[in-house]
Amino acid sequence: MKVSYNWLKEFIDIELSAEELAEKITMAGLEVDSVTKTETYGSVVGEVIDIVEKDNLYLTKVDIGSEILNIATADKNVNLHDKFPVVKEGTLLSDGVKISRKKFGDFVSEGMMLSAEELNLEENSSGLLRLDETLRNGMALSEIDEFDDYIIDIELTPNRADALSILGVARDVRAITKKSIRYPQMDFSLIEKNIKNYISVKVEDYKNCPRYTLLMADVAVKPSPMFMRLRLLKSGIRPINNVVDITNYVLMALGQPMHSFDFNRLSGDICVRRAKKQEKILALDSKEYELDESMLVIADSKKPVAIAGVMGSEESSVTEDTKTVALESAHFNPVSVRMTARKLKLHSESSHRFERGVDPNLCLTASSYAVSLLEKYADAKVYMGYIDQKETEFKPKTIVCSFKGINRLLGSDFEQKAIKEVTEYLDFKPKVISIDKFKVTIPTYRFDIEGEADIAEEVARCMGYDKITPTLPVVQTSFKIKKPVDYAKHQITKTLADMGLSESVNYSFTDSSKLKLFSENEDEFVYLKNPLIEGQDVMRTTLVCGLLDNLKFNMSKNAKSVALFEIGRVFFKESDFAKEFDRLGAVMWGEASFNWIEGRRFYDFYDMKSVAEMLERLFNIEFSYKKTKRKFLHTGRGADLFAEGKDVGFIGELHPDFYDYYDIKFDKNMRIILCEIDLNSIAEYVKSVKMFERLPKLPTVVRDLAVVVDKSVDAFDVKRTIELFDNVYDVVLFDVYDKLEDSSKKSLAFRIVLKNDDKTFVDTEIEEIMNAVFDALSKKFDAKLRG
Amino acid sequence: MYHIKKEFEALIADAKTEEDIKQIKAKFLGKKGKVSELFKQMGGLGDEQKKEFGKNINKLKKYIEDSLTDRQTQIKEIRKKESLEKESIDVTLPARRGFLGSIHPITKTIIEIEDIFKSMGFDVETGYEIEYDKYNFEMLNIPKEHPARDMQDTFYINDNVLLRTHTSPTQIRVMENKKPPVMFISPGKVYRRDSDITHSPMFHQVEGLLIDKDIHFSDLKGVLSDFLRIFFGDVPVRFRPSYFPFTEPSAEVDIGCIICGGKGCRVCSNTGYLEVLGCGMVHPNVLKNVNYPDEYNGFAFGLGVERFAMLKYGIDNIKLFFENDMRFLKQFS
Repeated sequence: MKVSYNWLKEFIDIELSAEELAEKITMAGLEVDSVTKTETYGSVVGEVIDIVEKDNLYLTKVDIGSEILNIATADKNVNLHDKFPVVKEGTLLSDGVKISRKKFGDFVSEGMMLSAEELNLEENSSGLLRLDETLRNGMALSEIDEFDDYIIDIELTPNRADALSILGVARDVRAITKKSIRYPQMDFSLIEKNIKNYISVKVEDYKNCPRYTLLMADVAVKPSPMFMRLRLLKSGIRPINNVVDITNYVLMALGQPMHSFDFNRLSGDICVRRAKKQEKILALDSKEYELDESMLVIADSKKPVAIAGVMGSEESSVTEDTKTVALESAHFNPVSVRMTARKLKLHSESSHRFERGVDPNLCLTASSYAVSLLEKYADAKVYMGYIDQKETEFKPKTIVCSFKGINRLLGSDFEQKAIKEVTEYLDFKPKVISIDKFKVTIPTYRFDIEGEADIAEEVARCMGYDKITPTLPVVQTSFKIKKPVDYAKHQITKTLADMGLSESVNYSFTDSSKLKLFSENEDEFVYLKNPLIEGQDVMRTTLVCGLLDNLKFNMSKNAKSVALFEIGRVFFKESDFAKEFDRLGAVMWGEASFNWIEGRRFYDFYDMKSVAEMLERLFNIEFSYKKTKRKFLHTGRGADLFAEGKDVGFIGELHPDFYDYYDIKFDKNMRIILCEIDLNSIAEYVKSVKMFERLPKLPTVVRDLAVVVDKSVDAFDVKRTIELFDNVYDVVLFDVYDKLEDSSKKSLAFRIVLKNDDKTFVDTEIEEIMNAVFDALSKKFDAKLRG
Repeated sequence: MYHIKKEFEALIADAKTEEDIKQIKAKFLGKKGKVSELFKQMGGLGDEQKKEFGKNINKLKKYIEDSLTDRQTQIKEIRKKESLEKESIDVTLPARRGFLGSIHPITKTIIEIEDIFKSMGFDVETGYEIEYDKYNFEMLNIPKEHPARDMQDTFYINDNVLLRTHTSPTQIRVMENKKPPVMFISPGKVYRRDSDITHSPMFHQVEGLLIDKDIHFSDLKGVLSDFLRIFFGDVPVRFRPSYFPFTEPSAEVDIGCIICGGKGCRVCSNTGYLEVLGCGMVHPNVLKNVNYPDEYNGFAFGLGVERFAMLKYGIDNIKLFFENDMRFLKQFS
């Protein structure tokens, strides 16, 4: 909300500069976004004393006191003796435009007349900014109060509906500075006509319209005075005519949204009712809205003339021809207004305030102020009497608070006197009722105050949060035992980073068309009802999509080596809700090494396998690696991972067919390797502590054994068979050779470490063990010794 | 004798190999060497002279022997040095094991935040990213038609299920399952339907909650001031009244701008302060919703991880976090 510093000063004496005030109210809970000084660029009052029209241009002579300037303008509404802000050639405006001498035939334009837009008072002006005719020609604009101002832009939190007006801000200033509020003059005189003879109001829905008031007056519609137009402009509201401007002026000043109907355009009496199904209204924004039965309208005997609390209709609105107005000042239910505004996607200054809550006791004060202004600036003749429809009075609530309770909540040591004084300046009318208790009466404009905690906040914010000394709590708490996944996530991250992978973080939503490639079960997809963009319409069920996107992105940036991992959630539908699992995913592609020692080598399956083996070590579990069944993996170069018989993930090369989907060219040297492992399932199988294993007491013996087996034999099984022998302490597979004469065979070479805890080996014993090992291999795998 | 010494000194200065030493030794100390020759000349001398002459020859012999040994040692040293020198390598070449991997700045920031709070005794809890409306809003004192819902544009799965817009539902989840006191933080992803230069539809928050008997707003100030000073260094911290439906009193916390030192710059919009987190005393309605007894109260806070990471590492565009450009990621080894 934009607040004019000068206007605010009419409501309360302020000894602080605009910036100082902004700092003060920010620290009291009205956060100031910016303080902007109005800018006049040295412009002066100029009077048009001659006009010649030529080719859609108006060549004018303008008296600026000290001299007479030639100025060309395109504004058709320029008349003799009108006054406008004038700048001379050479002036630099804020958007970088420099006013220069311009020639139009013989006419040399020596300056410019300004619009509100050029003075940064509004975003789009349709014409020049008209000044009061009483102003002296040549007077600097900066000497005029309304042009010598600061605009304080306050970002109000939704609970502070009470501060959505100049008066509301002034009330907070009072609470901090302890000055008193000055209310504007609101007197007016009445004529013989009585409103009761002209109109009546029936409220059908008091729940949504607890109060409806109406005043009437005969008026003369014309432009409103300069000060009012400028104040509205500074508040971000475009001036229209005096009647409309005055209702907006009262809205800004006091916070009561008002609406003026052209009485002669109403048919019969007013009824506040629910809209009929498919009833239509052409609103003031010139758009037609279709209403439904949940919405509240103000209707005459024929049709709706306003969407209650949101916007009036064009057909009943005040125009230049309006002679008599009916002035609505009502109170509407916040939820009803909010629902209606949201459904219609129609938001106004009025709905903004009603949604948050407007003081139900403000209606008549506001209309009194409005008619007093109408009398002054619209020659209004105010009718006797007023309409005030309501079922109940709106009584302020009272709250009983404890001084100790407030200090306990805040951890403060505020004196009773100080607390009482703060609530007095907030107009809470405190009454001490016992040694520790006091009663406050909450003004009906404060919808946000419900209990002692709210009073404590009021006290704290008015005293200043900085008056509360920081302390440290002592908490008697017990620590919970963590799930393995909880503590292992960071450890996996650190280890993978050490292993040379970089961590990535991707959006949890992805493209359903891509996700379908990687997931067999679409029924389990969790779709977003209102995605932001099409490519983010479903929650991921795998981390692979995101990682492949990252790979693609990095390839487009000329990366030669990509090794990324991500630890994140995947989501599966479970009836109306969802299941979430923690996954580890990784992608590798390109140069595994490119350096002076190893030269160039590309990532392959076994690089990725180190990720899986790292997990085995970290969690003390064992995976079995089985030929993959996943469709998106290379059938011969992929493994599904099992822990205790359960499928927990995979590692493998992306299937060559899938490169097309990602628009990546398949290169047999630079394969894309993927991995994804479910961390939650692993956690179930984590073996607690790996127990210490006794070191061999006696010296160990090392022997090598090379065997030839069929290519289809898994090296793991051969190794495991050797390991199962009692005397075998360690086995290292140190060579695999598959270019033998018999191309169906391969040779595996092992270094076997033997131990014997009872006595030192003798050669024959070693030979016996090695023979037994070989026998087992030949029986099980038809192994031959490598010749 | 003098000539012999001179000759020896000239030769030994020239000697470069052990072979040279051997030859010089033979030439002077061998059976037919120059020193032996001198002994032979002694025959014709008188006793006194003989004694004097003999003494001088022995002196010369000792001198030659010592010099030879010294020179020999010297030559050995030079040799050793030369052979090591030949093996020299370029020590400026990069190491064999490259430290190429990296931890994402968001994770780095979360780990750092967790470490600070863990040291103060906070637990770490995890919540759900897909949540019920009830947990994300209603139980947190934000009923269906509350204007505060406008502050958080929401992704919906269906009418009652959504992507959590903040980490606060974890407060409810934990309190429903645990008797007070509770004291935890909960980092995680949150989602808002909003995307522009400063907003990402997914970002990260860390939630904090402390509930016990007799917890004060001053405790909130103490804990968060300490945390911010540990994380950002010794910066001024200020608490400013604000509004969240689930806390009362509520506050926003600013730190002195770490870019300009409080003088005012583009990053702090010339205010000298940076807003870094929101917090407050847990609203009585929230505690009522989880059936906590009246004597318990406490504080809650929430912070944006991206904002912390951006300030800490000087990152100026939130999009960088989710593009996962290797050139960006590798800066965070």
